[in-house]
Amino acid sequence: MWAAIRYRRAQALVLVLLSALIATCAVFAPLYERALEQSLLRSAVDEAPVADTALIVRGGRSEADPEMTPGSLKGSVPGGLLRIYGPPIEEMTDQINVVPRDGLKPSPVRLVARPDACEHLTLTTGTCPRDAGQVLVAAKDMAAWKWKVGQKFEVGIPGISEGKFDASMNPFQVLTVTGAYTVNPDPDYWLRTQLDGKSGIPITVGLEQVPGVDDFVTPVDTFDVRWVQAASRLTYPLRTDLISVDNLDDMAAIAQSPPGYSQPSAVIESQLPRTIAAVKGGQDKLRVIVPLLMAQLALLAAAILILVAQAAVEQRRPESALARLRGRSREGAGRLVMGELGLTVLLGLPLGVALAIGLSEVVRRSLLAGGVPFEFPWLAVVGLVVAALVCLLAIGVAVRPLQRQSISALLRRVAPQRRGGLGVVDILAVALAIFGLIGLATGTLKGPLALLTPTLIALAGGLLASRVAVPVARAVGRTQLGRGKVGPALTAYGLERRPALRKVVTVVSIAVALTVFATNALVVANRNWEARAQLEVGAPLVLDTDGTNPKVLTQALRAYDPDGAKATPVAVIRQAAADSTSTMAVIRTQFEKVAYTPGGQELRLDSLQVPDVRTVNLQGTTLTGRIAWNLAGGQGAGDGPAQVPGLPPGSSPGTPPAAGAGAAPIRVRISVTSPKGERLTRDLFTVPDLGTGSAKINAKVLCPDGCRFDGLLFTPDQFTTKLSGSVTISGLALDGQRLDVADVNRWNPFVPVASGTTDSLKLTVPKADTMQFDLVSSGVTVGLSYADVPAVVPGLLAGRVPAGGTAESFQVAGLNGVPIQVRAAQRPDALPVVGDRGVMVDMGTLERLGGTLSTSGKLSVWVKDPARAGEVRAALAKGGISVVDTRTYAEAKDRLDTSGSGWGMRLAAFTGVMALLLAALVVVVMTVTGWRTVARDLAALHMAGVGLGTLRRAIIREQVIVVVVGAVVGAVCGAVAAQVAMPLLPLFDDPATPVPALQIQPSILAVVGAALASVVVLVAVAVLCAMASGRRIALRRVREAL
Amino acid sequence: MSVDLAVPVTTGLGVRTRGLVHIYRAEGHDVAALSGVDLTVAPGEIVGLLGPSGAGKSTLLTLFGGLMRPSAGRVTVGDHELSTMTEAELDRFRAADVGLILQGAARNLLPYLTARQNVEFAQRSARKAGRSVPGPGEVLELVGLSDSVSAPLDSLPPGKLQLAALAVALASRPGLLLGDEPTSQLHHTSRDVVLDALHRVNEEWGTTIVVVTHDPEVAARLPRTVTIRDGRVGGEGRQGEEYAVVSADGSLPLPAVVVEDLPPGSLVRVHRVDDVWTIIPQGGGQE
Repeated sequence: MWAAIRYRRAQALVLVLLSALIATCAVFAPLYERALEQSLLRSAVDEAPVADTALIVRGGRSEADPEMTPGSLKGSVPGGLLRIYGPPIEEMTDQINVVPRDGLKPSPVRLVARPDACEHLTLTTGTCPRDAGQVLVAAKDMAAWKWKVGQKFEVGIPGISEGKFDASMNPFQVLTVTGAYTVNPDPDYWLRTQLDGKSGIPITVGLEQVPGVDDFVTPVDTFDVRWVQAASRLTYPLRTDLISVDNLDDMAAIAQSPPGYSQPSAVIESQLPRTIAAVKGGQDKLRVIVPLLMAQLALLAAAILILVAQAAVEQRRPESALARLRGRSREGAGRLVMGELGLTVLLGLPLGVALAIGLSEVVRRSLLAGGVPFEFPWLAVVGLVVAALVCLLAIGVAVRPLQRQSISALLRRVAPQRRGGLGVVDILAVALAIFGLIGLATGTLKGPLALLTPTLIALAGGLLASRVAVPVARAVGRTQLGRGKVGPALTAYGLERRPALRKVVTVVSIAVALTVFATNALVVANRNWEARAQLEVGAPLVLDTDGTNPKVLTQALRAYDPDGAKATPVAVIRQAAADSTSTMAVIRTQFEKVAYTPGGQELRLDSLQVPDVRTVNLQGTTLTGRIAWNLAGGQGAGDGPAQVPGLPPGSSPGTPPAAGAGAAPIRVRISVTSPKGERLTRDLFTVPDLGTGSAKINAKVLCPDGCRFDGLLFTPDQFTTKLSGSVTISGLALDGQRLDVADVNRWNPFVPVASGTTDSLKLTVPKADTMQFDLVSSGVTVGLSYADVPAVVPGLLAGRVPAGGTAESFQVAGLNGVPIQVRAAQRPDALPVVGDRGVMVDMGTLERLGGTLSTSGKLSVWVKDPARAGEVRAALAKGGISVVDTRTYAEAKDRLDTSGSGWGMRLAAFTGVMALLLAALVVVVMTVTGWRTVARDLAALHMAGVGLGTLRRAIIREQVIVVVVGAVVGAVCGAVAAQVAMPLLPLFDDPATPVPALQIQPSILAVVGAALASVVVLVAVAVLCAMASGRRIALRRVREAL
Repeated sequence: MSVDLAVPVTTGLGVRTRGLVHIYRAEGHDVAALSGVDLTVAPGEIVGLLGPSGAGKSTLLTLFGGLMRPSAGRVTVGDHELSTMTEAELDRFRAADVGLILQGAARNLLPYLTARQNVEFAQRSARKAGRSVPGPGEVLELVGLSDSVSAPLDSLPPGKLQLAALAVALASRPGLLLGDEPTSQLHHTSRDVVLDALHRVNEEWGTTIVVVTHDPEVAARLPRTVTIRDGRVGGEGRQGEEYAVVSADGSLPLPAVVVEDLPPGSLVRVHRVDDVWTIIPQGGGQE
């Protein structure tokens, strides 16, 4: 048997390589999956801050437990939980106020007690506090305030000093400084506790700013029973060595076990179940992606092995015939071949295992998170056994027809061929491919067949192409021969006669289809990850600031970047409900220069354009002017409080006049917005009666800090059911200075409260500085708003219309949280940062409405070039704005790249390369197994007078045509598979509906590129092989015996 | 030439066919390779099968070897009625009782083994069937190849390669040796060496030998030749004399030279005068 293997050593080597590649695929898949699972886990657990995975127990003192300390919380934790956590870190804190220097206002300071705190601090002076009432202060504060060791601070004890508790207790505590510290960076000890970093930074307390002071460190004893608001915390760090991929469920179950603690005031928190859930989410995706991609490769490998085995078995027909001739049974002769080829392919398995381990080690050491151990999971053993069985089965399948042949058939040089028609395998492959195609297209197919469908499509395509090739080649051969073109005719007849070439068509089809599918999958996945990362972050760099005033931020940026080409401010105001519509305010012209447009969707930012009407600021005390009226109407039962059509949302019509006889028919009011963004109304004049009349206006504006002129309101008294006529206002001035508002174009059109009403309000300007309002009211307030802000703000709405609104008018939160009325000028699928629950509006418009950001809002700076982060920070600092958080597109993309789905999809690259490698190997195998026959046949033709050049070119043409036909069929099948099977691949670990919506249409560039690359590689291999065969054409081959 | 006494000396196996017909089924039509062959080969006899290409010689040989089953008629080798044997019985028959040399020496040999290993390979089935077989060395010595037992086959000249093929066919010391043109593609010297070996095998082992040949010089060295023509026994030659053979149904194939003068459809009269039979064409010369 060894002699037989050695005799065809090149073929044996190829078979060994082939089986090695199969074993590599079979073993690498579970190794890779396992390593990725470990990597995901280690990333989530090891690399996460200790605080993220720790078990935290919090408790506060109460009347029921006035002496609570961290130690007393220990009894709260169930014993089962403690199995997976290490010894706790104890902490006790309270908030005090310290006057850093006489004459200054007190600054808030946190008093922190931690056992062994001094071991994690560097004492720049003094000693560690040992007794109650002793404190360490930050070295920065010590220097800044010129504090000394021994300095005393008398501080009020929170709660008790406010007289809420026992009056007999001393409400003050004297704290004595024993030294100063700087913090040793030790995240495993300090967790999220940040002692320093506040010194010198102004803090807003109430309406004033006070200097920040770093934490005071004190012994636990300081917190005696008088410290009624002292908070205790125990942090149990997770014993990460105990958590592994294998016990995730157990760990999650332990971490989620019912608290069962005895102290109701204690709260146990752990992010571990969520962390584990995220890891398992990634694992679930891996368990879909890896089999999906590897199944294609496995099917390709098995198909190739069968084809190669058939070719190898074909070569052994004479040996089998001899064995039969010398008395061996059919089975015995089959075993002879099976033994030789079986042993050969089994020899490749250890090599394959070594390759798989090497490959996974490369991945583990160079790509994955640190701490991923080397493991050989049992599934890898199963993979190896399966690979061995598949290899042997493939040989068995190939040998079986040999056993069925009679000795006389075996003795023939060429095996009898079944001509024409489709075989069972062809029909089965086509049927399964069609079934799978329909199933995937309709979304009804799941399970293994769904996973195999992409390759089945290619298999069916390849088989059909190879069948069609025979009659086509025959016809071409006949035609070319008729024309006297020997070379092309030889090529055509070669294609017709040699089954091995047709098998190459099938294999190349599958391989190219798989390469195209895998490449497309990777490109499409990357496209979606980019879109998601762009959507999540919004710009290459986003700096979240502590600023609350968009104007201040905008001014700070304008000094740095006047054009807004490098950085732009963005405000995001979220509402409490998770699925509510957030508001995103942008500066249109800058936003389009700096921000991403995720998913390539075009945002119609022009529609957000701020009106070209100057804002009228009311900086004064008294409004004067003249008013004339001509009103008619009637009274009836009141309809309740008047509504305010025509005014921007958030308008408050104010309190209607008291009911009763003799009430004025209409009040004329001015609407203003305060610098804080509140919309207020001020009475301008009250018309005393119906009919005609005129009077002077003399009204207080009551805006000490100035107001923005927002509009005019006409409010009938509550008994009025019908009012019509006109009100003319002229010479309107503030503190004697004329208000330039008498221009029809500077007012928004009247918007009725509801369609179908008869209410109306029309402004005309009969002469300069005179406004005539013709009104019809059914008893409701009618008004017109000044057009520096649209009556209904245009916005780009992503997602559903907020409840209670329509696309033409709905409410969302403005800058200060006060609702504004918005209409959807465009309905994009998603918007950066706010996703599919947000509306984008113009920041300038919101600024005109005034106000600072609500607590639910965030003011950020979006930066085009992350390298300019320092410059932007500096510019912001000049404006007194600090950056509190930084987010980058690169980080977001990296998170997606290293997610379970991301790592899983990387396998597509491996699959594509392996498929190409396998196909190239098949081309080589077919050459190695068939060159003797080919060379002998062509040598005979050479003897008959055909030139060597013609013969060699004919062989090259044969190979090239086979590869190109296979590649074209494969590219088409791969594109079809990419179209129908991409939805099977989960691109994100998060099971929620992806935002932006997945864009899984095939990438033409990827498909064509992969197909061309495949053709280039395979054609090159084929040409080299053909040239090698061609060199062996020699007359001696005609008489070749052995 | 010595013979290993441990191996029982076998007598040759006789071959007998009756009404042997074999039809090849090709796409769309059938071809009758043998159309009723009646032939008897005595045990220990050496017989050469002659005839033009396509006459059915090789087909007859493969039927003798049990490689194919006849379409009709009987083939008996020794006590074995081949047409009724099961597949397993035929396997055992080929393992022990018959050796076949295929045309072209290389086709009889596993190229990656030496001559000795090839003989051993051919003996395995016989051994498995419980047959005592001679040592490989003995077989190789018998055919005159003892000096090349371990040489790679591709280093052997064509004559020695043919001897190796002969040795392989004799590996199980069969009672019947069949050779399909065993001397073709050999020059005269090698051809004579092979023929000598065949005669030696026949003499020393008593093996019945049937060989197909086109070579008149080879035929001349065989004691009996049978000419196959159009799928029938067309004549026999014994010690240089050519005979027509009367078949079981009384028909008499005329020698080829006679057929040239008497085309198919010619009428003849058969006369006997004393012990002399005379064929007279219609209208031919009067007695």
